[in-house]
Amino acid sequence: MHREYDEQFRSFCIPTHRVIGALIWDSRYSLLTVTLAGFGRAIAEVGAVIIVGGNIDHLTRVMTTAIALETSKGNLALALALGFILLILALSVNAAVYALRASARRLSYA
Amino acid sequence: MSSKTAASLLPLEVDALCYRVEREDLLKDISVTVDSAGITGILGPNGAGKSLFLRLLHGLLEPVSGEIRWHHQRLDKTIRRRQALVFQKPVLMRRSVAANIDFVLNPGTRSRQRRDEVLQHAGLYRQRSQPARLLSGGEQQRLALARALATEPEVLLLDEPCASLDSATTLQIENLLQETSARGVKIVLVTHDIGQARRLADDVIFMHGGRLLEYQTASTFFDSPSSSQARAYLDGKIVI
Repeated sequence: MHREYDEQFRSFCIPTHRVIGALIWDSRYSLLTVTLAGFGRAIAEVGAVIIVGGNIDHLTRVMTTAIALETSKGNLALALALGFILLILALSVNAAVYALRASARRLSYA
Repeated sequence: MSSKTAASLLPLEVDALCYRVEREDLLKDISVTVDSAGITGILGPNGAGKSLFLRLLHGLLEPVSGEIRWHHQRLDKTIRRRQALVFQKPVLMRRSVAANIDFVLNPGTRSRQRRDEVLQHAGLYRQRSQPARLLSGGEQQRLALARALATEPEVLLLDEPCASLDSATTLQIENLLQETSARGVKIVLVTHDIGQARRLADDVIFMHGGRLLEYQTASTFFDSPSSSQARAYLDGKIVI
């Protein structure tokens, strides 16, 4: 976007702080989409979380690592319940991303 | 719509201007003095260096050598603020039509009334809350022109503003340009549309292969061009 706007902004002699503000505001849909997509990926991550975080109770234990732990302990009912909640969360976030992208594209703000 | 008065940035003096990209001379030794108000057309075939020349006149590019002076002063940001450039492909922000105008209005003097005035003048008032990038090609170009005029420039530079527009939209834009010129704003118009140059231009710069071949009044240029390239161009022949 910066490349697209650059010449026009220089032509109007827009000061740097206004350029930064305009770029953030005009790319708000893209930035929000990226944030949500990142969040969606992060909450569904398990391998890296176990390797880096170590699955320490109350510190680095998250839903995915808890699911893995409960499964290995044989608490399948709890693991399944947590899995469903995680699924619903991940699907909701992805649906929000999709809806946001679609409306941004429809309004040509993307 | 109010505007600052007549072309106080004139004369435009270009002295031995050269522009080079990767050892290729795209503009060679261009010298010209333009001191007439009204509309100056820059004509020439594709690749002649017209758009490049316009960007240099506006200070968006730095020449390799040579100098550009507006009203005997070297081109700088202060002078650029007194000009406006409309690009061939309008660069509209991802906002509503009204917000595109608001963005360029001086924050100190910005007002809804001023914005509405600008939009009404460009015939875009009804579309003011629409996303700017959903307007038709002609409306987008009119908005780009209205936005440029909202800054009340003394010199308006236009890079083929009517390329790929139909004749009705072209007429609307030409009318806007004529009104603007009548208010005393100096207009420099790049075009390869000979008909448009005939309709609008008071004087003509003809460029070919990165060189300025002619600078004449429009009537002299169209009646008796002095260079063979300009003659061939006006005859509709392919100029290489």
